Amino acid sequence: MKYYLKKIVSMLLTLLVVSFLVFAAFEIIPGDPALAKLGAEATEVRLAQMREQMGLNRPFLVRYGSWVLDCLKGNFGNSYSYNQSVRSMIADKIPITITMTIMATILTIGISIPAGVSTAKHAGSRYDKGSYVVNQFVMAIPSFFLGILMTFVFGLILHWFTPGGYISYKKDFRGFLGYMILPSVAIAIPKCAMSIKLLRSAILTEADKDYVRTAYSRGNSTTQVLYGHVLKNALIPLVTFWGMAVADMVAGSIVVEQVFNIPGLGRILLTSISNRDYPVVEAIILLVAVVVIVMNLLVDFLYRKIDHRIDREE
Amino acid sequence: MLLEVKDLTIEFHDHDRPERVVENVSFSLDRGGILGIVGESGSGKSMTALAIAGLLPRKKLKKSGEILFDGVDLLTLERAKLREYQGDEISVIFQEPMTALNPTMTIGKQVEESLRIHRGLSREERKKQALIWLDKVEMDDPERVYEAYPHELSGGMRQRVMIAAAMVSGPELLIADEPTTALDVTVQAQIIDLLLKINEKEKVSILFISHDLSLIRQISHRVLVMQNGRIVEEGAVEQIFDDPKEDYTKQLLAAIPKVIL
Amino acid sequence: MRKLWKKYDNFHFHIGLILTSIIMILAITGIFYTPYETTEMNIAAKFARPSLQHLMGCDNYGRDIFSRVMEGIRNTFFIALITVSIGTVVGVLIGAATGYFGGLLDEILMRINDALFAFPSILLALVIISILGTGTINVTLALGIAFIPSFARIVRSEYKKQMSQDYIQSARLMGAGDARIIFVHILPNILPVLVSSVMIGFNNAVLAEAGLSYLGIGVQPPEASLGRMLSEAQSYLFTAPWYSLFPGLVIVVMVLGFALIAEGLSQKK
Repeated sequence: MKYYLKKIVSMLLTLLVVSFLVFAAFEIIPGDPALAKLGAEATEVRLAQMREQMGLNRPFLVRYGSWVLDCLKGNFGNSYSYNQSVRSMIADKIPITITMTIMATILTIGISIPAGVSTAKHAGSRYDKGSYVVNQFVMAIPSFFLGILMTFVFGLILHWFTPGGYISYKKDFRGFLGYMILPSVAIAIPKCAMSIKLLRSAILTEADKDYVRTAYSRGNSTTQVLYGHVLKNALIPLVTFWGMAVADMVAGSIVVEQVFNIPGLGRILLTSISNRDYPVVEAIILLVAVVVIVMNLLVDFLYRKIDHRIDREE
Repeated sequence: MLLEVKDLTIEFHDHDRPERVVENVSFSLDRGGILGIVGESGSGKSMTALAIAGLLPRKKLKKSGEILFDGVDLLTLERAKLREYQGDEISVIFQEPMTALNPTMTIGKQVEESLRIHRGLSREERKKQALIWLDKVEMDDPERVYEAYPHELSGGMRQRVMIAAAMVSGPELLIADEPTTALDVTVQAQIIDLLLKINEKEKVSILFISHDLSLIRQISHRVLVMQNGRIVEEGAVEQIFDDPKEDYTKQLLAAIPKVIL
Repeated sequence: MRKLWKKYDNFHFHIGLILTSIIMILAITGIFYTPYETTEMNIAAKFARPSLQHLMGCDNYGRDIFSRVMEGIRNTFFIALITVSIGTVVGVLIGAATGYFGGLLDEILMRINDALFAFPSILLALVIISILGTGTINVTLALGIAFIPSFARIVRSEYKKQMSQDYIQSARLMGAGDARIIFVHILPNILPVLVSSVMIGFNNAVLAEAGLSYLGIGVQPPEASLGRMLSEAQSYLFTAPWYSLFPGLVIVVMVLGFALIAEGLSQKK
């Protein structure tokens, strides 16, 4: 219990620092938000009114405080470029990013566990060496290039899907999931290759330990020993890696969205960056950071669930 | 005759020159008997034990001879068949109780594992058996230990857990490979007492491997002295300790402080 | 070179060295010479297939893809190099100071570092770019800053490890100052770790730069960059697949080469 509390407090502290950094970063940008909102032809009087209205005259920390409170309520302010709230612009895009990341995470874990175990089981064989070469190669492919290759093969040659097509999850959820498959695969595969490599070496390290011999002495088959005994111990280093991989995949989804022409958070972020639409950028960045930090917390908890010894060290 | 080893020879081929670690070893063990194998490190005693338990590495190794268990040759038995004996009729406890248990699995799961593998028992039935055995190995509060993880127990307790896990399926042969070497002296004595009690009550035969002559003397009915992969001398425990025939045995005995003997 | 080849006598290292050498030769040659002008448009050669005249074919303006790839490698290579240099130098300074002195400075900087760590580096770079604006120099700077936290973290933990070693005590007794202990005594000891993280960092920088250029925020046209070429080529994927394939493959070779060298260095024999 103490452990969970400590972790949660530490997470909240990190969240606070993150929000402060994000807020401060967008404060130092030269330029006047009131001017940005009203346009160059605004009068000085109107500008002063606007500044007052936007609360820009208040001290920095006060503004930060009220911004944090607003964000907690889900109010991220209004876009400079479009006459609507940031919330309405990004709210319905978040499920796209989340779906893609979840699918990619499931793929990464779902593929790398059996593949890692089987390469470790046949360590030194031709199969193992072959998969090593494939792994090294795949790790070097950026996911957006992988996406382009897949578009070429599955879209243009095999005609499995229409490149550039997209169905909103509001219209047809299953169709939407269909369009999420390839982007998720594109993000997942490089992480998969890395996971397989890590898992293989973690299993081989574990396999030399005494408890493995004990497991064999009870009549377990090799497969039973690997899945029933070794895997859980070998997963301990992997959990940390997967935590970081999820963060990377969230960022990766922003790039890969462009490959598959998916109107998600990535597209809004990019247009907002080029339009200098800071409230939108700020909100998206903050959201991603929150997702990553919460993810890390969950990883810590999962970690502890697997490895009970952590309890003692704390 | 429960166990009969005939001309067991084991050679490692992982270096340029083959290395013979066990050479023409033959001995037998009666039902309910306790056979002690004593020797220095490198004498081949542990390799012999691992061979009987079917735990020799599968690669870069050449083995010959026979290991007859109830008349079945375990040495040439295919692995799937061998597994039916492992943990069911033949159980092993190892030297390092600190590392021999899986750190991420509860004690209960490990104690009842051989029941799960070899018997089609329900979860409740398995737990019942495991608790009975945790009690038989004199653990306080078996219910709590059942849910605990290895790191929460002391070395002596872990070795008791190993014994419970080995005995839960009611094996005919218990192989104890230096089971007390990693423990301190008082705990050693308790474990030896426990093994003697189990031998008497459960009628299980024990193959006790140790480099420690005083332990061998306390527990064994018959004794085998090994050196450099060969058997030097074999006999009843009184004969080996009171009237050793071979020089090597005499040297070993002379090296023990008199107080303990 | 021959010495290195012999010292790290393994397959990974050799293949990695060959791949990286090819890339480096292309990058360095690209500074002085490309087979065609990279911006030279030749409508007659529009979408020319790969041939002896145009090794990698031509793009939608009839520009020679091989020449543009050479320029792209050069850009990516140097951006990654500067990025990693910024990350390493600043990261080492911060990591060494916090690891060596500890205390309140360490607490504060590491707290900030942990927070920055919550941003995947490409996202952090996007934030900085949105503040600084797009363009080659800003992207390099943004990536450089984005790479500082990971280096600082690694260096700090290495310094913390070294602090308990005896040699530091004896250096102090001999009258060495803090700066001397930090740079002359400890730094050489953490070099192996630093070298491998620089290798990995370089690869991440290559991938991040390519990603940013692909998004259109990196190197600006008419200057060629591998990521940008890929995004332009995507529209012509069906008519001219080679236009996508070659820039992409070059990125793969670049990353693979470095990864294999790093792998080889860690294996030695």
